[in-house]
Formats: sequence, C-alpha cells, structure tokens
Amino acid sequence: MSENSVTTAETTASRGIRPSTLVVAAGFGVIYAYYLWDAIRSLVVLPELYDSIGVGRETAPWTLLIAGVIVPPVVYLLALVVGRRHTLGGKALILLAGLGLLACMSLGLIALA
Amino acid sequence: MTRDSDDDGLSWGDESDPTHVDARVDAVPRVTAAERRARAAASVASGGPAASGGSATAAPAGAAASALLVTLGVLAGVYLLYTVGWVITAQRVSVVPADAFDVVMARLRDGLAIAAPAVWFVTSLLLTRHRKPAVRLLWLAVGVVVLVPLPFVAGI
Repeated sequence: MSENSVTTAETTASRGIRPSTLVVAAGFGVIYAYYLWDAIRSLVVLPELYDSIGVGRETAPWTLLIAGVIVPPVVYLLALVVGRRHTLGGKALILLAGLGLLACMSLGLIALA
Repeated sequence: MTRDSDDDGLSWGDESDPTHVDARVDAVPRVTAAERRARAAASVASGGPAASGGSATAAPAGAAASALLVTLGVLAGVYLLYTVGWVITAQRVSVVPADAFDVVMARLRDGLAIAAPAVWFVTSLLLTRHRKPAVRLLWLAVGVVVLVPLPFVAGI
C-alpha cells in the first residue's frame, strides 16, 4: 500500500513538474529575478559612479557586487531543491523564506553602504 | 487549610499545587504489550515486584523534550530580536528612489526583510514536524546565522 503510493509519487516527480508547482515557482521567480536584476544594475552603475566622482572603479566593492549577482539564483535553486519533496504550500513557504533572506541581504547592504 | 498566597510566588509548585500542569504524556516512550509481558515474566522469575524500569527510561525522554522546548523558546526569542533589528534597520535606511517602481520594490524589500525571521521560524518548524529534533534545530540555527541583522548589530 505505502510502497504503491511511493512509486506513484516518484513517477509523478520524474515525469514532469506539476502545473501548480510551475506557477508558484514562476511567480516567486519573478521577484527573485528582480533581485538578480537589481544586483546586475549595481554591478554596472556603481563602478561608473566611482569613476565619475573620481575615486576610480578599482575601489568599488567588487566582492559584494559580484556576490550580489550570484546569491539570488543560488538561493532560488536551493529553495526549489529543499522544497522538492514538500507540498505546494511548503514549496511556497520555502520560496518565501528565501525571498526574505534576499531582502535582508539587500537591506543590510544598503544600510551598511 | 489555606497557605499564604504571598509565599506561593516565591517557590516552584509541586504536584500538589493546583496550578501544576503535567508534561505531555506522549513524550514518554510507549511500552508495548510484549515488553510488559516480558517484564512481568522477569519479575515473576526474580520473585520480586516489577522493576521501576519504566519510569527510569521515561525520565530522560521527558528531560530531552523539555530541553528541546526550552531551546525552541530561546531561538524564538532570538528570531524576535532579529525582527526588531530589521524593523529598526528598515526605518534608518533612506534611499531616494528613482521612480514609482523603485518605491514599490523598496517597500516590498522592507516588508520581506521584517517578516523574514518569522517566516523562516514558522517554515522551519512546520516543514520539519516529522523530522528528528536535531534536523529541526539545524534549520533554525541556519536561520540564526543567515538572517542576523548585521547593520543593527554593527550599530549603524
């Protein structure tokens, strides 16, 4: 009985992602993408700003700028991996928690900068 | 007989205290019928009354459950402090937004950051319901590390 349900769950997982999961992942993905875009914008704009005020782009916080671009997709993928065995609500909660983490990092950077 | 109610506040109540609440019973490991029979047979064989093995094994389990509960309480306090830290950080940050979209996203970011510790705590607890206590504590510990309100801690 329980073996049957396990095999069913496995085949559903291997055959493809359910549409509801896709909608949730895509919906959260848009906001994750915003944080990625925001980081790319900083990566492009900040060195130019440093140049324009005459301090030189070498002094820009390159580590933070590059980390900012890497972190959002990594958190998104981790959230999907951690949530893959959970229900739709569980997946949404995990994606929301990941989004909270990104928001904290973003706010923290702005406050420290 | 009535006791002085002022003195009651100065000591922990025991089982005779009317406000005493017993710990959850299901924290005690269940003794199966087979074990009970085996124990009874052993006591008959040794000629003495049933050994107090049951209560001896129940005590550590109860203590572990209490320790877990206390740890969860402490962690909940830490997460609450983090929430306060992010509220203050969000209030201190003042970036002049370029356009309406930036204003909306800044609001969303502040809201998400303030809610983050609570969301992480609830998510960790809810989704690890059926996991080992170590796993639950691990996820909560991860949250304590990654959600620390650095600007607030650094005093900026």
